[in-house]
Amino acid sequence: MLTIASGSLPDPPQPPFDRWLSPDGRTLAEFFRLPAAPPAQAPVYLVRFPGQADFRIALAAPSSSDAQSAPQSDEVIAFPAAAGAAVESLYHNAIVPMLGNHRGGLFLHGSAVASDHGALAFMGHSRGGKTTLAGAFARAGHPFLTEDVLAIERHDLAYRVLPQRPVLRLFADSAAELLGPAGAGPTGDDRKREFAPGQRLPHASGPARLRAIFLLGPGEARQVRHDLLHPAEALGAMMGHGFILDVNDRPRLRAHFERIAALAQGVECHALDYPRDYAHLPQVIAGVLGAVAP
Amino acid sequence: MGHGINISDRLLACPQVVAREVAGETVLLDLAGGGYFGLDEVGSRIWQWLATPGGCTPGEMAERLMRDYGIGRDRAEHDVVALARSLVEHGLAQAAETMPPTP
Repeated sequence: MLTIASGSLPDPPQPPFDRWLSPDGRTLAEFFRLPAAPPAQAPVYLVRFPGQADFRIALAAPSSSDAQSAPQSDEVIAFPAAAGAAVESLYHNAIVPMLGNHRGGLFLHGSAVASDHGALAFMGHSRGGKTTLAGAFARAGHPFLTEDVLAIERHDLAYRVLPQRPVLRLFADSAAELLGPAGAGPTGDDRKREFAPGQRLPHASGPARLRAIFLLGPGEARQVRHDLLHPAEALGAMMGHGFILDVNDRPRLRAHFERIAALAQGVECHALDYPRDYAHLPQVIAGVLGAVAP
Repeated sequence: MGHGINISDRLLACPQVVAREVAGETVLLDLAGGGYFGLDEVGSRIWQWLATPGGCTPGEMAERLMRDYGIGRDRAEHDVVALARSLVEHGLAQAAETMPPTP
């Protein structure tokens, strides 16, 4: 459960034990441990998204714990750094999947669409084109399941993707490409804007069997290219797209690794790269669908 | 022989490394540093030998590769030392003499 508070948290006394960095080296998030109020035994974390919000996360007490002051369920308190901060988006797209993985789930950074062949997932780094690609598929008649968080679960000896928030967050240029004049926003606003699904960009509201995963390249290919990946390659690539709350929690990190390894062996994985030019999107869609057709 | 690695050095897989066999290859996860590394079939076998109790020397591993793959000594030793050096440089393996004594 998320509580939004006013005010700010003091800077933690210790430096962050982990950071998320964008491909161009910007700090996206910092992770700190906070002292837990005794006699609580469960850890307390601070996740800071610079300039946007701090999230104080008090984990639920272990079931075997006698601590009565630790919460019975994970408690998240957000401290927005500025008015209009995208607190809800950060909560759903970062904090929730982190906690999900911490509790043994399988959440990865990516988008997914529901095709006639099953769900197709796209993993890549921030600003790599995952959301635009999901939107392009939706426009072509393949509803999007999720635009930023892949929630995957085992089901009947296979994997399936669970639908997430029915929202597409697009930068102005992608919004204009996918929605035309309806996607226009304030001039000079370079932030992502949220768009609800509709007839033009439909959303799939039910889970879909995961047919294939596509790991997006950096956009250096001169034409659309997709190559089947060896599961070991796919494992290494997917490890970079997980949401890990505490990288020093070795048993959990190991368990996460095992889940990703099982996924890499259980689902076909492809490397996909293409010029980041909207004109190539129809070819990308055709190429991806061709790669998974029976 | 390679920098820092002698043919008779006994090497061990570092205990904080998790290995997972995936379709004939091995992916290593360094729980301490968070990095992950891939090993092909031969590399996977070398890792298995390093992960056995007491570890292995490059010389012993080269002998096994010569026997199992029918390759010459020079190539076997070169390949083993090159991989061993890389694993040590990445903190995934180390000389047995540098490991803390078990309680």
